[in-house]
Amino acid sequence: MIPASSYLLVALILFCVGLYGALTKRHAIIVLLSIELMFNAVNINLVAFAKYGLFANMTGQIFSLFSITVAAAEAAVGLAILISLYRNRSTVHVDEMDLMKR
Amino acid sequence: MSGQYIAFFILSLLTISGAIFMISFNRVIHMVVALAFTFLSIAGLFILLEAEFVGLTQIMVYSGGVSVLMLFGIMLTQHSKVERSEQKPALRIFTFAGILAFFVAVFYGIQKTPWSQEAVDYSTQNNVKEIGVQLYNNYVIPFELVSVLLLVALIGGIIMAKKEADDE
Amino acid sequence: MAALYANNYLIVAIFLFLGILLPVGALTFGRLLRPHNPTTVKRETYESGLEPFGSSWVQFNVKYYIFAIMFVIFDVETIFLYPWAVAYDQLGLFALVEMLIFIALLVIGLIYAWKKKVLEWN
Repeated sequence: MIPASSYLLVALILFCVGLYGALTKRHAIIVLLSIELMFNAVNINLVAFAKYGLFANMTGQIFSLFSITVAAAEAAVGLAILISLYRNRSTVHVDEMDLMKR
Repeated sequence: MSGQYIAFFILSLLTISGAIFMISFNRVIHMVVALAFTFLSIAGLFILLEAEFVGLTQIMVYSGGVSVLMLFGIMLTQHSKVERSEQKPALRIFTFAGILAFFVAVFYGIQKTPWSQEAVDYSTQNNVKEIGVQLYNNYVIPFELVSVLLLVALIGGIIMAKKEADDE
Repeated sequence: MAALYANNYLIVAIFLFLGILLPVGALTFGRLLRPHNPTTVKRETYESGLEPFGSSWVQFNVKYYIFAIMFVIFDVETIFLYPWAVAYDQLGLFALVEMLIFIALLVIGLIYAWKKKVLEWN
């Protein structure tokens, strides 16, 4: 049997890579993709605990379904916001979206 | 049982290398393709964890839906192929150090926690049916909230993206 | 039973492996066999006999994106319909009402999109 900690380790590495991408990339779509990566890391944890947890049951799988749904809705609305922003400011770089800072 | 180990090794290797490639590629399209590979191998990991339906959902929504959505987003906003600019080096090093500290802390936590040694065997039951029975009996309110969320996302996305069509 | 589950997915893995191996192998084999002699005229993009001009990176119409959004939303709806249909014989009338509310809300979204004329293509 594969120990639970190896699944958690894969999820941790994915989460860290996603966090690094979300904080350092300038292209807004890449930032969104990194956030999706972090969502996926969380889903791996949920499903792993549905199998290996202290009170292991189906709840982990069901909540990962909900989390996937929320991620899809977030991606759709986030990209729509990005497209309307691109239309107004003609940039996709997150550090140039600073209208509120000035 | 060793077949399970081989499958886990290959799938986790594909997952992590897809993520690393995603971070290090220069072209945005290549990044999305690398991420699609990561999504597919995560679906494999779910199937290895005996969560068949979640794995298939992963393939349908992420590899089929979100990746395509991201590609359309890139095609709509792109003007140069190559994305070379990142944030300032000082910020990158600072971020990397912070994430490394986070990684070490959580890794230590994972290693020190006594995880339970027995696992539930889901392979003997009908996964989809079990999910259906529990979802529609115990999680009614989250389920209806999901439908509201999807409605809001649909209408919000259309309002946000549509403006251009009116100008034409 | 656990072994049966693993065996089923072993077949899937073998099919996946063959599916990746065959096109890659065929293309590599073809690359080894065919003559390789590119000239400028040969490398030009063939566009119905016309001279190609401009970049291939053109701005797409935003309508494609709206269709992609609708695809993702209804994709997610299917995810919730499927376990409901499989477990229907164990669920009562309440689950049917739940699902009717769910579908009604998404139909409102579809009608909205229809009224806003994003489904039309002109």
